[in-house]
Amino acid sequence: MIIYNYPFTTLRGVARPMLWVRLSSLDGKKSTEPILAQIDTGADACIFPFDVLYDLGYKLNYKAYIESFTGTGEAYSREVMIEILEMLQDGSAGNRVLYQISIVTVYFVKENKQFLLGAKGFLDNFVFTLDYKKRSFSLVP
Amino acid sequence: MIEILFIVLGSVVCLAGILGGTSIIMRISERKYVNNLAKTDRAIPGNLKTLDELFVEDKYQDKLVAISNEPEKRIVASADTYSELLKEARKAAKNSFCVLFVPKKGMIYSR
Repeated sequence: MIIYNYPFTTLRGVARPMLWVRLSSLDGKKSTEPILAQIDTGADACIFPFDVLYDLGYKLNYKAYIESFTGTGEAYSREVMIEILEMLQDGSAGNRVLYQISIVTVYFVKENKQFLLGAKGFLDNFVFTLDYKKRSFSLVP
Repeated sequence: MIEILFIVLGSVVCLAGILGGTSIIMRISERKYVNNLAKTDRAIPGNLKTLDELFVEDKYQDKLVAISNEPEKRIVASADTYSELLKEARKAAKNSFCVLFVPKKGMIYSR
C-alpha cells in the first residue's frame, strides 16, 4: 500500500518523520508491541535497542559493529519482519497494517535506546518523499 | 484491401480498449493510505492529548516510555532499557501498550 501524508511526530518540541512499526520473528511466533521508529536517511541500516532481540525470542548471533555519532557499538544482526502501522488522530498507533516488509536485516545495538529505520532493508523498498512545510511524508513502494 | 484495413483498425481499437481497461483496473487496485492528519495535527480535538503533551515533564527525557490508550492515553512505564520497560509496562498496563524513545529537550541530534 502506498502511504501518503503520514504526519511528522513532534516530541519535546521537534517534529521528525517517524512511523509506528511492529517487528516480528520470521516464523511469526513472536512480535513486539507497536514501536515509534524514526526514519533516518543518514543511517545505513535499521538500528534498534539490543534487548528487542530477546522480545523476539532470538538468541545472540551474527555479531557486528555499528559506528554511530556516539562511537562504535557492539551489535547483533537478525532478519525480522517489519509491519508499518497506521497513526491515529492523537498520534498513537492504530491496529491497521499499512505495509509489510517480509525480511529486513536489523542491527540490535548495545547501549542504544533509539529505534531507527535506515537505508538498507527499509528505505530501499520505497520512494521516500519528505514535505517539511506540511510536516508530512510519503512512502511509495 | 478494405477488409484488411478494417481488420487492422479493429485490432488496434480492441488493443487500445484492453490496455485502457487494464490501466483502469490497476489504478483501482492500487490501494492508497492517505493520512490527512498532517493538515490537522495542530488541531486535535480537545479531549485527545497529543504525544508531545504527554511528555512535558523532564523526567521522561532520554528514556524509553510505554504508553497505553485505554481507558485513556497515559504513560504506563519509563525505563533506561527495553527489557526493564517491558517488565514494568506489562505489570502496569491492563491492555496493550506502545513503545517510544523520548529525546532530550534542546538536544540537537545529528547523525
